[in-house]
Order: sequence, then C-alpha cells, then structure tokens
Amino acid sequence: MTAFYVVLALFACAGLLLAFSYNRLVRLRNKVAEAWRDVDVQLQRRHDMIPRLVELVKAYAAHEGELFAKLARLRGEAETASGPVTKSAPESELAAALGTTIAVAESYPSLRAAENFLALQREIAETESEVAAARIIYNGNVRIFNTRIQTPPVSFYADLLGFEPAAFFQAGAEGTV
Amino acid sequence: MLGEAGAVHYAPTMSEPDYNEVESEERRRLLRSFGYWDLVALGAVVGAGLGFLYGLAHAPRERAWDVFAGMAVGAICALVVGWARAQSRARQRFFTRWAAERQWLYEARGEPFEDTLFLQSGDKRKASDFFSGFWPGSGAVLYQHKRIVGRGDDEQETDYVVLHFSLRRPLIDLLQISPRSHAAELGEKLFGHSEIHERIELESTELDQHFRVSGLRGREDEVRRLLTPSAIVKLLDFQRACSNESARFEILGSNVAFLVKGTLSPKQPQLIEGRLELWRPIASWLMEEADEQARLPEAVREEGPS
Repeated sequence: MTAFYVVLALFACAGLLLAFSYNRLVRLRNKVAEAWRDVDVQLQRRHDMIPRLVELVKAYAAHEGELFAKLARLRGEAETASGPVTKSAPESELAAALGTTIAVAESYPSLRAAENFLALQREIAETESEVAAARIIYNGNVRIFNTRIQTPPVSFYADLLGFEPAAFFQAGAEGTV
Repeated sequence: MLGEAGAVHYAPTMSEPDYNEVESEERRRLLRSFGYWDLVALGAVVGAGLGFLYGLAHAPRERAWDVFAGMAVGAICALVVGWARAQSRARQRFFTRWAAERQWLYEARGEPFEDTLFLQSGDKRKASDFFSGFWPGSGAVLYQHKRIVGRGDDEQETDYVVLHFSLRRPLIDLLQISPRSHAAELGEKLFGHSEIHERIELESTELDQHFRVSGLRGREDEVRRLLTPSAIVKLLDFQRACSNESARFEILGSNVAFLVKGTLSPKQPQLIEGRLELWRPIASWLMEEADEQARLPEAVREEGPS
C-alpha cells in the first residue's frame, strides 16, 4: 500500500513539474511572438517613410529613377515577406538602399539644408535604431527560448509538446543611415 | 542647498588627493592638538569619578579598582571619540578636495530627497555626502541615503547610493524598475496585488529575468510608450555592465531616482565615477525624452508619440 502511495506521489510530482515547465515554455514562446510583432511594427515604420523620402529626393534628383525603382521593389518584397527567415534578406537590402538614398540626398546642399529633409532624416535614424533594438530583444528572446527547449530535461519532451526552435532575425544593414 | 554656507571650497590643483595621506594628516593633527589630550584627561577624571561612585554603590568591593577601571574606560572613550572625529574630518576633507578636482561640489550633510516612493519609504531616512555639478545644468545630485525600518532594537538600516535629478517636464506618473525578487513575487501571489501599482511584462524575456517593471494600475500604455525597444536595450546594457549590483530606478512625475545598495567610500572614490558612467546613458535618454516632450505643442503631447 505504501509503495502505491509513493508511486502516486512521484507521478503527481512529475505531472506538476511538467505542467510548470509547459506553462513556462508557452510564456517564452509568447514572448518570442510578442518581440517579433515589435520588430514588425518598427519595420513597418521604416516602410512608411520610404514614399516620403522618395518624394522629397525626387524633386532634386529626378534622374535617380533606378534607385527609386529599386527602393519601391525592395519595399514591396519586404512587405510581402513574413517571418524572420524570409524577411531578413529583403530588409537588409532595403536598409542598404535607404542608406544610399540618404547619401544621394546629402549630395544636394539645398536638400540637405531643407528642414523637412532634416526632420525626416532624424526620424529615419530613430526608426533604424528602434529596428536594431527590437531585433536585439527578439534575438535575445529566441536565444533563451531555444536554449530552454534544446537542453535537458526539457529537450526530452519539448518536441512531444509541440515546441520547435524559433528562427533568429539576421542582422541587416540597419543603423547605417 | 549644495555648495552654500559651511562648504569648504578648494581650487582644482590637477593632482588627485590621496585618502591615506589626508587621513594620516588628520590623525597627526589630532595627536598634536592640546584639546585632544585635555579631552583624554577629562575622560579619565570623569571615568574615575564614575568608578568611585560605582564602588560606593557596590560596597564592600575594592573602590581603588573601580576608580582605575573608570579612568581607563573614560580615557578610552575620549580616545575613540577623537579618533572617530579625525576619521570624519578626513573623509570630509578628502571628498571636498576630490570633488573640487573635478569641478564638482561636495557637502557632507543635507536633507534626504523624499520625492519618489522608494525614497519616501522606511520609518526614518538620513542622508550624507552630497555630490553635485558632475553633469552641469542637469541639477543631478549623487548622495548616500540611509533607509531605517523599524524602531528601537528592531531598527534595520540599509544604505543606498542615490542619483537624483528632476526632468524639465513630467515623463510618466509612475515607473518603478526594481531588481527581480522571487520573495516579493511570492508575497504578491499569497497576499494579493497592490491597489496602486501593477507589474508590467515587457517584450524582453531577459529584462524580465533581471528587473520587475511596474507602473500605476491601468496605465500600462504610458510605460510601454516610454520603454521603447531602444530603452529596453539600454537597461539590458546597464544590467550587463553591473551584474553584481542590484540597481533600482524610479520616476515619479518629473523626479527621477537611481539607487544601488552600498555606501560611498573615500577609499574607493573611483566607484562614484564608475556608477555615474553606468547611469549616464539612461539618465541622458530620460533627459532628452523630457526635453523633446517639452518642445512638443500641448495637443501633440497629450496624444502621445505616433
């Protein structure tokens, strides 16, 4: 009879531990998703600035049509991509193209001195640093979540509970503006 | 308050003062002073008198021994008091000179700040060693804050090094960022939540592992608007730089306090500069945010940043 109670207690303990562990993993996975939404919001802010920038620069450098077309194409690609894996490459290229556009704009002294350009440039720089920060937070959450599910004892049952490693968002060219 | 009457002003000499030198100079000065030996002699006489009275009260004990013991105790007390006074003078002189070398101001005594919730907490509060002028124009003050909880024999004292400053404009009604404590969380689960504040879980798991962020109940949006990803990264960088210290931040309207457990020691003055360097990125970010808010027209400010 005593052995039965001991076995029952052991099962109860194991069940409790599993429940706690499951709850923790769900919380960590939600944090990864929340951090990704934050990255997405910041990337959307970046996308929203592109038409305004193109509009401004076009007035001074209409011959840079190729660059504007590239920006529009990359913006479209980045917006249609979803998830950290597919978004990494177009977003990196877009950040680089954004940097080039700013550099082109800066070669026109009258544009460089224009107040609305300066304000937009400041806004872009702020957004780029927020994108970089959101990426750091997202990757930090992914690292903690992945470490948790890939190390014992959680690694023995994480798969069974449906937890899979999350993908990192690779560093792009943000912060170059 | 700072740098007014009573403060000794030194002109910078471009040479770092040495605390050991200042301390031994004060000790020499003490030993050479007539007043000190008079005090020791007086202590011995008073002690002898008290010893004699003690002997009278406890007859038939040997009165001579009581007199000698009283003399010794009186003289030792006078010696210790003089020594402690020399230490305190050395500390004050050293900090004044050390601050002057950096064009800062130092004041040994002052009233503790009590304009944030944590600084108001405790049954009694004391403050000492006020430094200012390290960030010109900011009104920031670094000092040692003693928080006393309980009364009489149950009194418990905790020392904090506090950086205090006021923003040009209130940024948020209340924001508390404190070291994460499992005991506090368990207490909250067992005894219920606070009516005034609530815990806010931000998107960073790492931040959650180290800090507990809380704001006024029902004002989560305000906290989230202030703690943008780049602000969170600043907090994480700060945490990495001082992983062994449990730092606490508090904003109440326009009053900001950064606290860390510990004392200011003249033997390690470089720690003061070290702490200021660690706190600087977060402090300047808050100041910039407040300045930016102050520049915005009232209507935009109420709406919040887009």
